[in-house]
Amino acid sequence: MADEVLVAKDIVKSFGRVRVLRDVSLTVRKGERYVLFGSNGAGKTTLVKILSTLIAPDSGELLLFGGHIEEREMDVRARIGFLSHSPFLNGDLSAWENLDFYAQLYSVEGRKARVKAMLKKVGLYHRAYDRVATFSSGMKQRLGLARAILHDPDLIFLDEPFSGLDIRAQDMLNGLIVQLSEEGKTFFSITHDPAKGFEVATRAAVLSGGKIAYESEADDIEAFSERYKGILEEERL
Amino acid sequence: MRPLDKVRITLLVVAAILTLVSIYLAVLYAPTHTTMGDVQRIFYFHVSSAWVAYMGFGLTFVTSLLYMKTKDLKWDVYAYSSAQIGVVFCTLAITTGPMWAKAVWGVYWRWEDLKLMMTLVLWLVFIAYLVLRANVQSRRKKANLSAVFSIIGLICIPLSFAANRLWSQYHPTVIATEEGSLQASMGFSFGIALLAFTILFIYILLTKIEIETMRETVEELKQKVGGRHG
Amino acid sequence: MSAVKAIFLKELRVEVRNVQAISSYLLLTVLILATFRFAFAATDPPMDQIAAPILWITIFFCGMFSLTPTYKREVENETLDGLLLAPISRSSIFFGKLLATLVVIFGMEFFAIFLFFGFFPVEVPDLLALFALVAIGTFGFVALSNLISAISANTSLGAIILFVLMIPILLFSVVMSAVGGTARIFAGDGIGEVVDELRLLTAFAVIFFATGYLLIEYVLGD
Repeated sequence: MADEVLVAKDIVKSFGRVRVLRDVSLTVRKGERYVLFGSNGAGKTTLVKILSTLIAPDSGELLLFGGHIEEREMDVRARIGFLSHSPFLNGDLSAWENLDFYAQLYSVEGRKARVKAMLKKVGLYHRAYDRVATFSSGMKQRLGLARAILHDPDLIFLDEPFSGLDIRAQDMLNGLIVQLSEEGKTFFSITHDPAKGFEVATRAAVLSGGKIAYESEADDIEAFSERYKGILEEERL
Repeated sequence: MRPLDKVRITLLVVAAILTLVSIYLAVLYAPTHTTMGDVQRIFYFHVSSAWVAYMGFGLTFVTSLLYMKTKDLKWDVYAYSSAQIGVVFCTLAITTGPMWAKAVWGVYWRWEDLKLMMTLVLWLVFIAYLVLRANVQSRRKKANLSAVFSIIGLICIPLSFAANRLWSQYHPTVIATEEGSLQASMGFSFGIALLAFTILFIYILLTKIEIETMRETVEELKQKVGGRHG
Repeated sequence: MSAVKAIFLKELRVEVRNVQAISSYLLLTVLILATFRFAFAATDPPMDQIAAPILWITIFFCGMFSLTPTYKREVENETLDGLLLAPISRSSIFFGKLLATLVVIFGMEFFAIFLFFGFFPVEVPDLLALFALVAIGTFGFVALSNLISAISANTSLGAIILFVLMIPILLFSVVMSAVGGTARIFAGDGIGEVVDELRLLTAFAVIFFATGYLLIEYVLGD
């Protein structure tokens, strides 16, 4: 029980009267790299926003780190990291200033040393004092990852983190994900791209029709891809 | 026929009859005002329009609060519908007002009159409210933002009123004559006009809510037919 | 508190980095005042009657222009979710930005008033009263603009929507008391005679701070 980092039960979410998520239930355990696949518009982004406390579900239960979010929202948010296809960085500020700003928001202890260590980790220390607006999208995404893990979160959400990245940057990101997960971090990732997403997954699932249509251990990419294709075919009908 | 339809049709019939009656009362039955003359007859409809406008805006305020408390989009539809009706009747009130004012005061508008200023401000606030709604895409955001806006739009009104030391009151008190006694026939005509407008307001509101609800159902069906949208 | 401070400093830094934006607000101040000067040069009305409205119209319009991007840029840079995910309250975002915009607007007002006396040389016996009135009026104005700026950041219209939403509310609240009080100061009244206006402006400032604090959750959240 203690290793269940994220438990979602019967999550329902509508926009207006359009029901995007019908009934989503899933469990993510400590150290897992859970990757959720689905076509565009399947509700993946909505789901990841609900799971990361950005928006509230209409009904359903969400337990993060074994507790309901309403009870200790700030504690829960302090233990969550989030990297989306947009890196949440301010272009007018330097890399250092950006990280330093977020470090203040998360009340990170030993701010200076931590920011410096993070910049070194993603290989951007030499550009620390340059404005982020001058960075390439790959560099921004790396800095975005540094921002996401700055406060040493236990659970990290990734929302299509590979979009807009070249192959080298994608491999570097995957390398960092595996490395962090070996340090005990848990990942929840969403993507529509089976090839890239599956590479780092330990557990894979498909979101379709507002529900988890399929879930399995990520040990057989061939079998999973077949199944995923099948579900996408069904959607088209 | 659903019960709601029956209620609506009854309201429509009653409103139509009462409106005709109140036109008769205002134009033929009520006596000519001793100092203002026939132009004073605008009063019956002018004040009733203003009353419906205030009622519409007030209802928007209340339903916006209810929406914020419950997050139920039903209240947002109520707020939107009554704001729209409020704007229409407010337009009537601020166009009939100057016709009367020109005859009585010699000017179309008095910039130092608190009631005039307040009505104009309310009119602008709720036009802005409609503009805001027309320019927000997400349904939920539209409801949240417009609820907040209608609340800040109305929250300063009491304070501005309390501060009326800064402005003087010119607005006529019509029903009382020079001696201060109430003219019964005028009072009666006014009462019927007010009732007619109020019932008309309720009828339009219910119909408007029905239309808005249908519109949302159509949107929903369109989305279903057109494919899934996250 | 540390979150408010962090956001405050970040906002100021971003404002200062946007040199083009700041210089365009200052230029706008010059141009609005110049427009009034030229327009009134044609009719030459008594200075002390037109001075107060001119000062405040300049402040309001330049203020609204400079406050438009406060929340818009978080939406455009897609940094808003970054703020919302952080373990801080929504109201600390509001107050952080509010304090930063206050500093910017006070700076702009200092420039505007200085310039104003150049264009419209009115006698002000009680300069302290003028500064008190401008300062308190600005508190209410900026608190309201921050909330409206947060609302308008979500719309598809550009800068114009802030004006559309802002002006009707401003008319009946800050405009009348601020202009009324300022006119009396220009006519020679001291701080003692504009206490009512000061009180009213303080009340509006309190209302707008409180509504911002209470309602920002609904504006920023889902």
